[in-house]
Amino acid sequence: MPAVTKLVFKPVIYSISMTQDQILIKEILNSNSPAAYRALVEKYERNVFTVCIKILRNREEAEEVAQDVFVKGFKMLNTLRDHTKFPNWILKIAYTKAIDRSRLKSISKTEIGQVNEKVFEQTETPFVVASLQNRKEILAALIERLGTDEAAVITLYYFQDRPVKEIAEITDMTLSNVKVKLFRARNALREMISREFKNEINDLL
Amino acid sequence: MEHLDNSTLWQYATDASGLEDKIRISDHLSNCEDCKREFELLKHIEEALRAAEEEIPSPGFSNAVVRKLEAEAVQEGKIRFSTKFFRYAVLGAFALAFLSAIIFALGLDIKVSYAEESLKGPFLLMLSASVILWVFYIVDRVCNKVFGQTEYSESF
Repeated sequence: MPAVTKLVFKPVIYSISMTQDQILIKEILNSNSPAAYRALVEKYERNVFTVCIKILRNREEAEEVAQDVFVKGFKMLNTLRDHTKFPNWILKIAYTKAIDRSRLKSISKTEIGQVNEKVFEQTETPFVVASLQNRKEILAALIERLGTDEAAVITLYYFQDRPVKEIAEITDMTLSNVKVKLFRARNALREMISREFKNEINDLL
Repeated sequence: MEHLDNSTLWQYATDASGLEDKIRISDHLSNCEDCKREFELLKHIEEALRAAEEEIPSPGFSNAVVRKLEAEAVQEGKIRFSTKFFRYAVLGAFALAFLSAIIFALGLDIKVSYAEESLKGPFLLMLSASVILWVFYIVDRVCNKVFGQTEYSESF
């Protein structure tokens, strides 16, 4: 006698074409449970936190704002029409909240200078011959000196591999404005490197 | 020899130049040491930026978000209850005041049976019902405006 196959029917049937985000969001909206939201937070916490810290330049403050971003995301999840766009949507909330917060506080230039000097003291090697790790650290410190918009655009483009079109959606800028800011940010970084390593580069060349 | 401008070099370093430009720039770089040095620097910057890693929040980050949401849900539950209660309280108070006014208008010395008959009249009953419903509607709208959730308009 053939073995009887036990069929298990799940109450909610998901389409094969649904992405992981869509499934998670559907579950969260059905249950309205913060615990169900945890998976989505864990998936995107780095993206949101990176945008916040690059704009705010303070770890504690960035964590606080990033938490508020996810809290707002949970409350407003039912207003999100296209669930596949959750990452861009949550980044837009992060960008808006971090920019709002950065406008409230004035960043002391001396503080930034001190932080960067510390990094450069550790790295005496000129930029062109420095190791990739060193160059990454130097650039991370220099990005802090950029304006908030430029820092945000650089973060979204390089740290998160977002195309220019998506950055325009997230930041509410035009495509050409994003391209201009990206170009300005790169140039500013190049100028800063030149200033910081002037003597070393001159010696080398 | 005329040097390449900054924008052209950046485009080449970020691999955004067209095919014809690529050939022209490559030719120029093989003959111009200054531009080649500048290009090397830009390429190193681009490479380091491409290799940049995202920042990591504290280990308990997702737990903190869930705790915040749970705490807010409890708080919102309390507010929702008090809002609901407030609506019924206003409605009850109004109904009581309305009935008291009718009884007072009819006069306390009038027989109770007469007052009852007047209240049973179709006109007075309809008037009372419509006034009560309107008051409930207005109270409901005001409560929604004051305590209701604000919309978060997004282009997504």
